[in-house]
Amino acid sequence: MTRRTKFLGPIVAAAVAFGGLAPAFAADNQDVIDYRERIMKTLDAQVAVLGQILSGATPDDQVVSHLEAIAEAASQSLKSFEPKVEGGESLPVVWTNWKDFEMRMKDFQSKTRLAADTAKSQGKDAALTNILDALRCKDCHDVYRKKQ
Amino acid sequence: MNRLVKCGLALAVLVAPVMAHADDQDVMNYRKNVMKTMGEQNALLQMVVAGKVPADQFVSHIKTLHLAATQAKKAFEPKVVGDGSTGSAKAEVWSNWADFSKRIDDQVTKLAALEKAAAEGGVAKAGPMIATSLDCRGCHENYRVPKK
Repeated sequence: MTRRTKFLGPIVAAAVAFGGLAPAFAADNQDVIDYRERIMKTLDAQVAVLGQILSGATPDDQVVSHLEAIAEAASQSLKSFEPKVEGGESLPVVWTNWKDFEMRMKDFQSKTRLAADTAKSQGKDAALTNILDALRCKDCHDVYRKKQ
Repeated sequence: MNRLVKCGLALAVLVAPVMAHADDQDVMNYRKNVMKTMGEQNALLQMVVAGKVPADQFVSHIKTLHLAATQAKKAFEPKVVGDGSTGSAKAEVWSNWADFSKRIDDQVTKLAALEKAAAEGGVAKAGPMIATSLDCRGCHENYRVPKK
């Protein structure tokens, strides 16, 4: 280590410790936020088309595929919230109340997976019987998402 | 024809365009949400490949993208032309349906192969195939109203 780097070393360490290099990390944080938001937007899109089908506005011939897409995106969601990066539409309570959040997400994952598997094995009508119980989006959004 | 029937027919004529418009909007909403799913999951895939987020959900993103691609053809079957604001599909989608539907079929086939490769060998195997497996632009240039 040269004299100059010896001199800079403590400064860099202090900058990192006190957030002086925040811009470099902010870019990473934005990636984390973008990642989870895109997963939630996927869920939003597929739940919306399912809603259209349930309301009779759209034919129901792709229900199995939509349920599978919802289950798949639901399986991605918890992982995307694991990095504790506040911002976007997430409230800090996601991480301060992680156990509850995690439990709700796992419940969401298992119920949407069950619905998708039921649709494949028993048909769409069987899967749609309890679908509203699987898609309790609002319960979570009321607690963990910023008011829109 | 009694007055009641005449009134009923007049009302039906007046209401019909409104209902037709609502149906058209449903058709456009449906396909927009399917395309939105593809857009979001494609963006997630690109984030993984760029190293911005961990690769542990790589296969799931491709699977969801593949699922949405299988939904796309059906979503475009009803001929409802967009104007760039409420919908973005050009009239050429239907006047050139053979080409459009073939492109979607090809996309589905390529994504099936990509999903298989991802399941077998993760990013190392499927990563190099992504550029040739996704031809969003080729289709959008011909069949989507340019964004305003």
